[in-house]
Amino acid sequence: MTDQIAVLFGPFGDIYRRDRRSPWVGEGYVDINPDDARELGIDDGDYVWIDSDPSDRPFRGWQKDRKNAAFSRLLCRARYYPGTPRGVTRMWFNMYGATPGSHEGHTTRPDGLARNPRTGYQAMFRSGSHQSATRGWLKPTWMTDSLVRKGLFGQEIGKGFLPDVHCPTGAPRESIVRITRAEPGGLEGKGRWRPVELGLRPRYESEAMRRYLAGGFIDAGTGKEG
Amino acid sequence: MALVRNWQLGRDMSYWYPEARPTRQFAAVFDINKCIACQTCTLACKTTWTSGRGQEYMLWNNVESKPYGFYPLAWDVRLLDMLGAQRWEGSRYAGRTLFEAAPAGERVLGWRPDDLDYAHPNVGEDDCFGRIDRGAALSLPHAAWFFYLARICNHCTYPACLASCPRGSIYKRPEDGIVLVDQGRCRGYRECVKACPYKKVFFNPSTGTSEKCIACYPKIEQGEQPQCFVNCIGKIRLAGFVSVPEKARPDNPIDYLVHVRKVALPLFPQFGLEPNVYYIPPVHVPLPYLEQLFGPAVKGAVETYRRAPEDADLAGLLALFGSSQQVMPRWKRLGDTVLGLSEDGRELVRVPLREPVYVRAALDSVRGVVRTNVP
Repeated sequence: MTDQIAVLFGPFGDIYRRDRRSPWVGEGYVDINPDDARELGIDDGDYVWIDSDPSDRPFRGWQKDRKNAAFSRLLCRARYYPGTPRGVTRMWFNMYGATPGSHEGHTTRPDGLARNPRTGYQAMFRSGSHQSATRGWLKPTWMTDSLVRKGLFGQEIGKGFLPDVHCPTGAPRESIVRITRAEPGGLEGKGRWRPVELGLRPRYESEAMRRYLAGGFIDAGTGKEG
Repeated sequence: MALVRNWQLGRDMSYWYPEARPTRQFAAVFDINKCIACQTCTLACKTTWTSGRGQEYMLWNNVESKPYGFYPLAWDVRLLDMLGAQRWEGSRYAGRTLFEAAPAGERVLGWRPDDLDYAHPNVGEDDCFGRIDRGAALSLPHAAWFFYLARICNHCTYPACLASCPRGSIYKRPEDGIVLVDQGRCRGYRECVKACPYKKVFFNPSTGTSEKCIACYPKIEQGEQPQCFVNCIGKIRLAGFVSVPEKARPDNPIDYLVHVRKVALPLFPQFGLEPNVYYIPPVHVPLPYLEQLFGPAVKGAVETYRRAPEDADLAGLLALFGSSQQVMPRWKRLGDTVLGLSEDGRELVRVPLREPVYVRAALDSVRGVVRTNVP
C-alpha cells in the first residue's frame, strides 16, 4: 500500500525503479517555476542541490561534522511547475527524509535503494529532506496535554482540540534557498528525463502536444471561443 | 466488416463484428468537477485486483491530471496525432473512427506502448496549462487550468480490444455488457493492448496473458457497485446501466444524466467505440479542449451543470452519487427527498436533496467561551 502511494506521489514514480538513483519507487521533488529553472540551467526532471543559510543549515556545525553532513544536504528532482510564480518554489512536507542508514543503503546497495540495512527505514530522498533548508520549530507546549494552554484564535476551552497542542509543527516552513543543478534527469543520468524528450512537459511541448493543448484535433463546428 | 449503429456519433459506422447489444449495458457517470485526485479509487482497485506478480505496473483504475497527465505516457495525444484532425457536423461525427481509419490489413488504428510509457503513472500531476504570474490568483476566472480525469475500462459497446483479438479471446457478456479477457484462451499477442485507445488492457509478463478492468463483475452480479465507486471519497461516481437513446427512461439515473439532461458525455466519442463511462465535464476548462475530449455536446453539458443548484431534479440525482454501495437502477425525487430504487421500485437508499448545514454560534453560552468556526 505505502509503495503504491509513493509511486503516485508526484510525477517521478516508477514501481520498477528503472533509475537506480531513485531512492525508492517514488521520491521527493521540488516544484519550480519553469522560467526560473531555465535561468538556472535546470531541465525538468533534473536532480538539484538545494541549500539554505549555511550558518545553521542543514544543521548547526555541519562544517565540522562531515559524517552527518554527508546525508543532510538536500538532493532531489526538480519538476517544472507552471502553477507557482517566479521566485517561489514548493516542496511537500510529508515525505520520509534521508537518514544515516538510508544514505548508507543508497550508497552501498547495488540497486541504490535508500533503505536502512538494519532497520528497513525507507527514505524518499537520496540525501537530506525538505527540513534540510528549514529550521526546526518546536512549539513550547508541543504534545504536552497537561501544560497550561494559551488562548489562540479565540479558543480558550480547557479540553479538546487546540491548535497550539495538536497541530503538526516544525516542518512546514519558508526559507530562502539556492538551487543548483546536480545531475541530468534521464535514465541513470543520461540525457533528459523521458517525458521531456517525448515533448509532453510544460515548456518542452512537441507540435502534437501544442495542438492537443489547444483542442486542435477536433473541429466541433461550434466556434473556437472558449 | 459490418455496419453498426453508434448513437454517440449520430450515424452508422463500420465494425469488425455485427451489432450485438447486451440485455443490459454496464455504465457509469463520473462527475469530474468533484474529483480531488486522492487516488483512493486507484488503491481500492489495486489492492483488490492487481497485487500479484506481473501486475505491479497495472492500474486498471487511474486518475490523471489533464492536460499534462497520462497513463501510459501520451496515450491520447499520440493516437489523436495518428488519427489527425477530425470534425463534427452538428451532432453527427463527420470524421473517421479508429475502425474506419485502420491501416490496410488491420482492424483498428492503434499503437502499443513501450514498457517505459507506464513508468510515471502520475506524471503531470497538478500541472496547469498557462502561467501563473504574480497576482494571477487574484483575478477570476483563472487563466490557468487543469482537472482530474479518473479512468477505468469503458466497457465499450464496440470494444477495439475485442475487435482486434485474432483468437477471439475477448468477449462482451450478454447479460451486462462487461468486457472480459478469457485468461484460458488468451495467448498474449497484445493486439488488444495496441488497439484499445484508452490503453486499459494490460499485458501480464508473468502469466503471458492480457488482463483488464472487470467492472468488479462479482459485485455487479450481487447488485453492488464496483470497488472504485464505493471507495470514492468525493462521491463522484455512480454505476448503473445505460439504454440506447430510443429506450431511455427518465427514472434510470444513468439514462437521465446521459440521454434526458445530456449532462454526462463519453470520453473521445470520435474514436467510435461507444464507451460507457460518461463524464460530467469540468466547468472551468476552455471549450476547444473539452470538445476534443467529449464532443460537441460539451458546451450544453457545462451550461446545464452550472444551473444544477436551481434544478431540483438534477441536484437531487447528483445527491445519490456515493450514497449507497448498491447499484440503483431506478430513482425518483419526492420533494426534498431523493430515493435510490431497485429495478422493481424497492427503496434502496433515501437522501436529502441538499445536505443540512448547521453553523454553530461563535459564543458557546453554556460554557461561556468563544469558538472558532472554520468555514
